[in-house]
Amino acid sequence: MKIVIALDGDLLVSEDQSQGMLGQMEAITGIADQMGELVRAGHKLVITHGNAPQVGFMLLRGEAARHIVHPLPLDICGADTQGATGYMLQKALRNWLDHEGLENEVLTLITQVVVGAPAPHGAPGTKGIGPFFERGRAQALNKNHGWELEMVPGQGYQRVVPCLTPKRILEANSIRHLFERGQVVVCSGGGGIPVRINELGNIVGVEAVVDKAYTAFLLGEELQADMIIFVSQWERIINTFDLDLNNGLLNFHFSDLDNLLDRNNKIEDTMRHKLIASRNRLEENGRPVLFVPPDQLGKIPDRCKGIQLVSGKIAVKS
Amino acid sequence: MSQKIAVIAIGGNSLVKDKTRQSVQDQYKAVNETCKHIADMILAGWTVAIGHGNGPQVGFVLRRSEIAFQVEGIHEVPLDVCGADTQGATGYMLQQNLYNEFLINKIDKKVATIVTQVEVDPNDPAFQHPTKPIGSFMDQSLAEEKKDKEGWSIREDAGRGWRRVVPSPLPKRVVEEPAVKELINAGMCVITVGGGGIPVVADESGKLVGIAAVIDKDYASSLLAKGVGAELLIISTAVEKVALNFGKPDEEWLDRMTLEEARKFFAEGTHFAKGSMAPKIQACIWFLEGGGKTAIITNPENIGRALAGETGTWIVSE
Repeated sequence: MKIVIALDGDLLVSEDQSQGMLGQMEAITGIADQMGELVRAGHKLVITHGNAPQVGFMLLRGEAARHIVHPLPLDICGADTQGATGYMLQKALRNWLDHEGLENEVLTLITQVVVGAPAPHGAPGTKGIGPFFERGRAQALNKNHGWELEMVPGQGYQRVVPCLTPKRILEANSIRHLFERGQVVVCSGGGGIPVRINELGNIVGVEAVVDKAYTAFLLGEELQADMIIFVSQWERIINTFDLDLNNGLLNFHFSDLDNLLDRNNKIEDTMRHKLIASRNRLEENGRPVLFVPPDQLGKIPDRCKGIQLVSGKIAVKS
Repeated sequence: MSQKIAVIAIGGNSLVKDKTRQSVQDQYKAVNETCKHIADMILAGWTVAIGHGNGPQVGFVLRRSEIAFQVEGIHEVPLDVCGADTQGATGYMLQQNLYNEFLINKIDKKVATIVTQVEVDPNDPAFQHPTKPIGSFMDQSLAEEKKDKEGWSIREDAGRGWRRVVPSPLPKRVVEEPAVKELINAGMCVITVGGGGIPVVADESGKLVGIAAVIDKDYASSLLAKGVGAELLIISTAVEKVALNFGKPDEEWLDRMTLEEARKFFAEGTHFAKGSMAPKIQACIWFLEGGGKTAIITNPENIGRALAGETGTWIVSE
């Protein structure tokens, strides 16, 4: 099968922040081992990943050092994290494959996406990013940099940026070229670096975040993938679907998604984006969408625990 | 139709012009100019792979990391990950500007940035004599603490304080070379070996592990050029041509030399500055010995004229 794997960004950092980069490497290695099993089983993988914690660290560093080193705009932060996270993923997966005698290459491609409309109705249209500021500093940042800031109770003021829907992956050709030759491609980290085409027809970076769930579906279409897999912490999936996940892969009909979104207020923003993207895209193409925790990834499709969204168009496996 | 492949190694001055122009906007402008010259190469019929330096950029990442660790206790970024960060960010700026240049020039080409690891030999003698200073100056007690706790090599730097020094081993293998080659063969413009590549070594079990080292970007570009079967290696630097007896009364600017002459001048040891022109000449010699036809050393603004044979220093295989 051709599979798009979309990893939550917080799976790629250590829960214990004191572990720093070693902790990140360990977390990434654990997931790489699972993805290796899928390659061994003969599946073709393209891997995309979130980057919220990683960009968060960059913004904190940038802010702490602002008086000495120039700060970084958001598109550059995204590019930085694509490089660093991609490196760690490709190294870890390549090491696993080498060890198992598999010859697939693993490559990271820096990826830009042309963004368009705000996230679709029902999905959060903005996202808070970076450090919290006191009121005075927040006002100065608003005045000097045009930032929008919002008060987060108990924490302080935080910058908010729009969350935009990706329309087109600029590097789709090179991704497809490598993917079709059996290489594992890591790309469009953070949903892709958001860019727009300006009046002159030039590509320019945008200060925004991308609805990365949509990017996963775009990749699926570009590569004619057979399946999209969203990988999140167990707890996050359980809280979202409100189901016991101990019974293998449960089917969830996509027509029930609206109902779920309405009735469950425990659904986190990141999951809300995924569910709404799934609802909007699944109807069009009938491609299976899975929600699984990281330790189940290697057992897909037959032996894993998790949720499979199904539409009327595909055979429902009981 | 077989392609004419060129590798261009762009120097730090193509990205950061001087100390007053270091911000992201300044870097972006500098990259934009460089991309015009690369578009010239493509218009002249070359399929181009691009290597670039990252000295100042890694310096910025490290400085932010150090300050944020001191002020906020945020984990520090190890040197291999700094390299991956800058490959992402610089690759992004290059590929975006190239797309825009291609648009202006109606060039139908795709650009890909590949996050690239370069393997070095753990027995490289450079590991016994770390020479490259990185990061900020420290007082002696902090330097010694870092030495004891984190195994850093440290050195007193001409009365200005203490600095960390890391080895600069020779590149042995561009890990992602097969994929770079595939994309080049498909006619794409590929950005790779940024900063000389992310340095990795194979541990006893054969796994690649990132290390704290710096690889010369001209050496890495030369190795890549050999590997992908390039005819031409361009090293873009601060001077239009190479000089014998540089800076002395009998200084002599060179238009052309054969491989044999280049070897002879290099062996004389007095012509080319260590750590500056000497490694560039060495990189050209290795490239030509490995089957390359032509190496050119010139500055960014003269790339087009140098290709037309009007300037630059040409080093030819015979």
